Amino acid sequence: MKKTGICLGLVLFFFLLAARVGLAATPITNCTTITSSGEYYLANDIVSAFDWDACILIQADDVVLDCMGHKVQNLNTSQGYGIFSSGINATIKSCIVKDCQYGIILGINNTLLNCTVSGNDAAGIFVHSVYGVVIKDCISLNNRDIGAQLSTNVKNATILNFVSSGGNIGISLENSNNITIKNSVLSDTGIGIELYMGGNITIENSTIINNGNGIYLDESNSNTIKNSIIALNEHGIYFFSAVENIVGSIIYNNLFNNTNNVYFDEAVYPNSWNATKQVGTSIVGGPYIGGNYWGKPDGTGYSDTCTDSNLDGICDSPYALATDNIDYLPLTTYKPPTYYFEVTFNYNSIDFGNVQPYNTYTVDGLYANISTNTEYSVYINGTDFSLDWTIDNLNLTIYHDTYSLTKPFSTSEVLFDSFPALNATHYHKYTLYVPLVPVGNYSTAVVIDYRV
Amino acid sequence: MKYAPLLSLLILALGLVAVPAYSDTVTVSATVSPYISVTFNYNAVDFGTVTVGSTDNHPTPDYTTGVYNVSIDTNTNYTVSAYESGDFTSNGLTLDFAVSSNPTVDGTFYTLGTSSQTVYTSSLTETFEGTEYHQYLLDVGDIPTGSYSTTVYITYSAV
Repeated sequence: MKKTGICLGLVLFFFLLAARVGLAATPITNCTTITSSGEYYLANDIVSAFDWDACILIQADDVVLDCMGHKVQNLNTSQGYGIFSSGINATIKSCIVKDCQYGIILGINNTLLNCTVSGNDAAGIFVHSVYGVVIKDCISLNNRDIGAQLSTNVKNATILNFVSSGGNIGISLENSNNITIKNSVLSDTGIGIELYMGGNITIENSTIINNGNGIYLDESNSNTIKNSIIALNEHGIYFFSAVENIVGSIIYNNLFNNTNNVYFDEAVYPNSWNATKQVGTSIVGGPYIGGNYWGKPDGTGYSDTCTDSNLDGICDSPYALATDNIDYLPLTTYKPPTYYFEVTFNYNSIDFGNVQPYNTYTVDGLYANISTNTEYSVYINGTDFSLDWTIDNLNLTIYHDTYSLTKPFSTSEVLFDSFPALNATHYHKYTLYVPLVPVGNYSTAVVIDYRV
Repeated sequence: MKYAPLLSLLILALGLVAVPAYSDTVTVSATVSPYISVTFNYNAVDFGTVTVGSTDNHPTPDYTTGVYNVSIDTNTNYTVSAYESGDFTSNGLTLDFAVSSNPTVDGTFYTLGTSSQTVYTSSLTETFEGTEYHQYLLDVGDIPTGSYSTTVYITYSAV
């Protein structure tokens, strides 16, 4: 019985040891083809000359490739693929891929994390006819043509925290659908983001700055562009369509600050340029979310100069961009009201002296000076003198000019009255009725609260 | 310099101003003095026909009905003092007087003289609003037949 137990223990030990060995990541030191699922890591930089093939070709599903910050660089500049995944559910992370024709090509349900692509010729990242791709925390620098290209029927992809600078296009979505671009920065390119055909693209919380065209929409349908800064481009959004039957986009709460914020080339089709007015902090810090901020670098944009008489951060009049393209709630620079409100009291105690039950006593000649340009209200409350002597025996009269109002104090706060936005001196008169209470000294505290 | 317009927008967006409120907490004080109010609800006591040599005659109506009462409203203790003008004493009649909180319970009777004497002292711990009852008894000496009257002076004083 004892020997049997020892044998089983040894079997279990060697089984676990074998399993652990099986889970260990496989090092890659040169260009290779991965044909088995599992974890791999780049043990060193790979600087190699390859032509029309891939340096690292992933053919198996469920592969995790961690480059650990090492680079894959093609000495045959502008040729081949740095990393090419045709496997499903691949995760590729912490890679630097340089000087290929395509830097990284992703397959179905592939995830690309924390990678940098630069100096590639056609595209830094290329996705073609697949779905479920996630590109997160990646940088594209000076790829000659496109930073990230999603081409031909790519669906349900997400690009997060993507930074692209240089080249012809930052992100190109060609005939792709249900794509989200979020928290990304596209700068210093010919086109920041290109949407060609396809649709249901969401661009949000992104910055598209200093490009030829910030966003280029070419017959792309039903997109959403919101909460983004689109600035210092030659055109903020460039619409191109040879046909008019395009389903328009909703574009709101963006900050436009371009020489030409919106440009329609050929057909003009309707787009929505504002959301329903709702409480929330706008892209320029206003108290409402509605349309877009229409600025210009020289300070002459519609939102730069419009009137906002009610100080709600929204221009008083709509802004017409083109036929059926009207921002009904254009944002403007929020100018918080410059309130001033100051109250000084000339007293903080009242002594009625010796009083007798069943008599009423008055203290007058007290006042509060109010200096303001805004409406305000006065609230009062107090505490009882004693169990027998409640605070509602004490009345406050506020009077000035022709105004006079008297109200009793209460142990709960009550609104005394509201007052217009005018400087004033409020005279305070206190009237105390003494009920039958025992002989003694009584005191209490009342609060006179002036509030905007 | 190229980014200056954009930056100015963002800075303005942060320029929110808080609006203050002003509150005055006022101490209100008063010193309540002693107070007593007494209302006499009768102004005559009639003993009717009494017999020479009789004692402890009750008035008509009897004081036990509570008809001889005063209303008192006070926040202090007090004393009651009383005397009569001398018309009874000089004619052989003796008038006794008592104060009671209950008309059917006799208080402590004092024979009224012509000088004021304290006949009752309260012992309140709080305020009092209520009724107090006066009780009278008459002793008749060996005096001639006739009608006799006197004036009784009753004083309530805060202590």
